[in-house]
Amino acid sequence: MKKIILSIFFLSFIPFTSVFAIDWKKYDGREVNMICMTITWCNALQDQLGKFKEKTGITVNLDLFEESAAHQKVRTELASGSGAYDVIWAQANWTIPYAKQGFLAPLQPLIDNKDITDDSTLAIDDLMPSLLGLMEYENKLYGLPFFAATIITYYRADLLEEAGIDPSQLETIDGFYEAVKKLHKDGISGVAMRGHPGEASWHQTVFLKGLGGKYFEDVMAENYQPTLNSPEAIKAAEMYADILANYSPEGAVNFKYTDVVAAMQQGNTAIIMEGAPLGGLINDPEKSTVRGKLGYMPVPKGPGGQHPAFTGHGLALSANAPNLEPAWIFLQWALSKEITLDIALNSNHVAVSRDSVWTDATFREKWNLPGAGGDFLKSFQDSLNAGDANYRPRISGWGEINMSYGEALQKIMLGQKTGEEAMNEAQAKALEVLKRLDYID
Amino acid sequence: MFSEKNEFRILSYPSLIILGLLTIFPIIFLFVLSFTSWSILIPDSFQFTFNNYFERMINDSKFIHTIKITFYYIIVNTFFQMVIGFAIAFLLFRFTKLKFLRPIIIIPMLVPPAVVGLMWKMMFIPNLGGIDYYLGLLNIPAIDWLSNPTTALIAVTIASVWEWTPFVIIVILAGLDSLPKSPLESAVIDGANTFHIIFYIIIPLLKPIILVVILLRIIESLAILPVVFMMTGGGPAIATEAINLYAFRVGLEYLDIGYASSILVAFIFILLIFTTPIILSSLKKDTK
Repeated sequence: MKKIILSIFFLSFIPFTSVFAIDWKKYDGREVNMICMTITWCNALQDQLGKFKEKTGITVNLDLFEESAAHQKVRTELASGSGAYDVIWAQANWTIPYAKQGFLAPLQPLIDNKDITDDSTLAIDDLMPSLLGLMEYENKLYGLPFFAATIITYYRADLLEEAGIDPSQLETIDGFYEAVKKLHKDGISGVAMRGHPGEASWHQTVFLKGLGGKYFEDVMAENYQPTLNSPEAIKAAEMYADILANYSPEGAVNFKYTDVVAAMQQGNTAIIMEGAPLGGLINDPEKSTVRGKLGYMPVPKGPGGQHPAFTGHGLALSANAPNLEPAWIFLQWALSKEITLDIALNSNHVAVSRDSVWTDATFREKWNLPGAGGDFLKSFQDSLNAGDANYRPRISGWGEINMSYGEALQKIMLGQKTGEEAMNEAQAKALEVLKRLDYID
Repeated sequence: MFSEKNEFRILSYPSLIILGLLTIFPIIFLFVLSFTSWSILIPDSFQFTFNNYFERMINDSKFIHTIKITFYYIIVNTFFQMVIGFAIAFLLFRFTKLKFLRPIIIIPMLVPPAVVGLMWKMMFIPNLGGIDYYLGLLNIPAIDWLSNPTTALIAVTIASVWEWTPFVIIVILAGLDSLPKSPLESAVIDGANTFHIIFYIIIPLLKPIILVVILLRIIESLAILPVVFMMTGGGPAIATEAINLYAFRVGLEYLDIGYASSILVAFIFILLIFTTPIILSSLKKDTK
């Protein structure tokens, strides 16, 4: 009798509990296919998939590719509408073109469906608003961000002191330029930044916008008339090219982020400007010779203001996803606070997308990187807060314009073209692309 | 059961159908795509436009540049592969004691092209790879090979010659081994020197084989894509970017399928310009 009363007592709670929690086992036995680039978070996620299978019975097949290969794979799969992947890695620059083409499933209908949405796990208000903004197109949400990217300045406090340079000099572009020239001697390179045509603009935009230049007339007003050969843009291009050609390690014209990180780790570069998410790698106790010697600060500002790089990575759902609901369950779980924190504490992933993780004591303790000046987490967070969603234009022709802009910068570095010639060439190419894609008449 | 003619047909049709599906259909498909304005970035852009991309091509400085680089790869890489390959093949033929080298020589060909590119990229990195160390022994200062347009092109040529010369050696060596011995012996008795033997006897006798090797090398000198991709990615700037890498970028990175197809059609015509004279001259030989 007691048992029956007890079980009725417990059963009577079911209607209430179902309001707060979803049936995680609803899609037991299903499979979800996901594609991502080899980025810290996705690499670490792979080790968590067992937990998800245990909780829900859903198997997640995660395919990881190197960045450009992942881009190509995502684009071709989405364009062909194959539905081979349910969960898609979406870099912020591509959410708009993908959403515009109808490749992605809008998330709001899924969020509204309380049978499969657990609001406490999703905690959408806890995701950084600036990052969520990157996943939106025409006020509709298409993805959940997992990665917040920006760049900061890492400097060798000891070398700066030797040369008699106060770190505060690196706060302005002119001071930065002078310091780099002064530090470049005796086998020590002044600075390392990315020179590879596909990646250079990620750094160079700090100079372009800092010196008062811009890519397009007015992005907010949708005036896409390119302004790549304005006097400010030419000056910024010449300055960046001069730094890379004359005050950087050999081969800097082809540097990608791995080369920049290695240049600092090896201990013969005074300053680098590089991704804040790479802070852990740059200070890797096993690979780095500079752990404990670094100072951190946001990127320098100029007459045009301070423009820290800003982008994000997120996960979206394919419009043709054959397993949309299980994939949505997975998305909520993968981006939950619990998993985000777990990954941040047990891997090299620091670029977390949740406010609550940023303020978490265990997180701050782990990521309080050793330093000799400045505060790593503060520089990182300040840069993210100053981040502009349109740091680099988020339009569909950007891949092509970006490449020709990077190639033009390289031609100045190699001395093949003057700043003006190269930027005129980049401007002509941008005009051609934007006309072809109907952004301008 | 079947007449001889029917038997021939029944036996050959399956292979013809497979051949058609595997080679002819994709090429026709490429031609069709080159007449469309299909770009994955533009919604509903799959339309036939017969005005084509010719105007865009001749105004596209990058296209013109990649054509020049393509010609460079065809001419220079093939030339060095042929000359070095022939010289080594002749040495191996002449000095039979070197026979043990024959299997070793094939090794570069067995290495996957992407690995070849990565390997040479590392060798050319200043102060890290091997090349600058040996140049340093000769008191030549370290050069940053892959960051300078001219040296990057030379570096790619070196890698490609290293990889594909063995192919030339093997085929020419097989040709040399199968040559009739009597003309060579009588030439030696008549007092001909090595130079005479090579230029007046061996080369004329080997002409059909040499032509086929050149033909294959021209066609394949553009299969250099993985090596370039790994070593320089087409850079610095666009210094080492051949037409097929450009088409790859336009098609798969910028998603402009129509234009990429037109570039590839242009590429096929360029190959035909180079290969037709060779095919014609080897056909002439057969009819004699």
